[in-house]
Amino acid sequence: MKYFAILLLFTASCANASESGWGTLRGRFVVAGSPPASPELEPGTDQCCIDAKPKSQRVVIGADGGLANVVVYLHSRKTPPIHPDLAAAPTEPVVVTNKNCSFKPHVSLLRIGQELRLENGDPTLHNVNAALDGGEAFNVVLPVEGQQTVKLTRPQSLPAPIACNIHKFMQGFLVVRNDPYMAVSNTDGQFEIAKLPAGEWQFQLWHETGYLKNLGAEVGSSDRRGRIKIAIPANGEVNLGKVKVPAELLK
Amino acid sequence: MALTSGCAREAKFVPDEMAAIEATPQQQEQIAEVLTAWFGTPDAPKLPPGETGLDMAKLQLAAGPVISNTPGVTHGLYRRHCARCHGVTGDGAGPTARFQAPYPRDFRAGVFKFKSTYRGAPPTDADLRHTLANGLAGSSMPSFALLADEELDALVEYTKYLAIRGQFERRLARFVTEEFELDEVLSLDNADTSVELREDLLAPIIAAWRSAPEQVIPVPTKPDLTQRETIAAGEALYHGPRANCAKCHGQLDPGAPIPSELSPDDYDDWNLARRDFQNETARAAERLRNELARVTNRIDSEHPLAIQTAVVKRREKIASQLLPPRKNHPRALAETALRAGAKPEDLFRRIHQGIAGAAMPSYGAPAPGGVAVLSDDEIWQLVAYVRDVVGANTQSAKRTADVTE
Repeated sequence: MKYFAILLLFTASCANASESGWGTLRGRFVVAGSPPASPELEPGTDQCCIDAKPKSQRVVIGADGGLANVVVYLHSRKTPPIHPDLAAAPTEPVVVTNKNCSFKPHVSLLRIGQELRLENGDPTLHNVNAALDGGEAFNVVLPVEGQQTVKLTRPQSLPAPIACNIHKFMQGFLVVRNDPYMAVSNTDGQFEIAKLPAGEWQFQLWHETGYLKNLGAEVGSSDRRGRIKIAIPANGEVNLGKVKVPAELLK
Repeated sequence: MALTSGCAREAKFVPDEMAAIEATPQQQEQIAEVLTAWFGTPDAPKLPPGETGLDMAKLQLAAGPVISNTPGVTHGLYRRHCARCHGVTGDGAGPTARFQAPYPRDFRAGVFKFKSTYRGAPPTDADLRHTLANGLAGSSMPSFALLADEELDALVEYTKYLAIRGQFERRLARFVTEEFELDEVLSLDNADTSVELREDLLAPIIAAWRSAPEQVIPVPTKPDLTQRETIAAGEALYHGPRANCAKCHGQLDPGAPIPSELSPDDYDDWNLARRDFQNETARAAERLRNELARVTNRIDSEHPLAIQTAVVKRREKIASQLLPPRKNHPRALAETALRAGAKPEDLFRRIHQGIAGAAMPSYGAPAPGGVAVLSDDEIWQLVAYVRDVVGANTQSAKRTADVTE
């Protein structure tokens, strides 16, 4: 028993030595140049959609030029070391609500193991048609006050579009990864990924208009697939500062 | 000359250029090499590694050029009966495809609309065989019921082979594009890559096909579908807020908007992919023009804009050769021949799971244990109503009913 405890202590310290700590990545995306206008959308014949006055959410820009809905995730073919606090996928489901004839949130992040719950908060019929890769695609109907639960088993190498065929203007995205290291920028353009394994990692920068390619940040620039190498310090953080996204990329 | 070289050109599989557009030209060649190593060629198919469950003898009867050396035995059945529409590659882009509406099925997504299994699962052999034997009413797909049993079996097997090959090609293209470094070489000589390709990409595709029979939607005992009360209950559901079929399929009253007016902009997954590719190509071209206009000094071949120019040129060439995207409207049901027939069990499953690859969603549980929007009894009521509306009991519908019914 005593030997076992020593052995355990030894392996635990080894693991710590190889991982050598955890760090945070944060930053803020801002649009440089004059962004495209967000057109109003043709709401169809449902009164609740007409009342919602839907606008395109393809490019959402905050008051200070911040770019919302930029997806940032750790890009690694092998599963990275996972911080002990994040070892298990969260038990609460990821909820996507059909509300005011739009998907809320516009971009949802799901880690494999988490349930996806689809809800309808509108007084009309919706469907959710998810163009997921690898045999995971689904298309379910959501009646008034209806809900549906979907279990996903394969990560997606790119954010996948979700749509409603009844209301063509509705568009959302689903990011499905095997690890917890993903974030989506808020309306100020800010994002943060905490408890990342220290070391040099590649991150994917993506927006629904495409890869955020050839972006200059203080620590380097993204390549033509929107990937950027960043060294995450142990017990510290990397702040990308203001990352300028040329308006041209968003058109 | 003709005698020594044979009269037929060697048939080749066409690469899925749309799927691999963002991979480098070198990587696109490497993808083609992996496919040839694992799946062979149209004249000499191979079985990929692992227990595929595919029968090589059947594949050989369907593959290759059309030859008959023994009376009653024909080789090259796929090219004889299918390739003109579905293409040698199974890409749904054979020489006659452009003139058909709807287009012939592109097998490479591994998605088939009319089948008995859960929406995300591949069809069973029996499902494919059913489509071959009956054709699809209102499309160009004819019945092949006159072929011998072993010939139909061979074509079912070859369709599965083409679908699995196509699915693997797409996953591989996505994998290389999204997971590889830009200068990384794809090669089966790399043992780690080989294992990754086999276990993470190929094995799940094959496992899904092999387990399709376990994914068949059980159909509960059928009530009397001609009973007035059952039909009336179905009608109430059709127009009511929960099923609300009328939202897409229309009110069915004379003068009411028809499905193409209710959903003027509906595409199925195959047409949507082509439309998105064309839109994305136009966007990329426009952006490139603007960026080039701002450049004053010479750019060399390694410059991002030079690389982007090459990508846009490739995109434009592919986009110009695609079948023009076509809309798919929900079926107008009144007095019509439904594509895959109006057999009650088939209609039950079509409402239960919707139509894979199309806008029609699932009304039953999307997976075992999921939430069903409509109960089995309610789905039967809708089946009764739909059969009544399409006129399944009348003389005209009998002609289009399943020949195997």
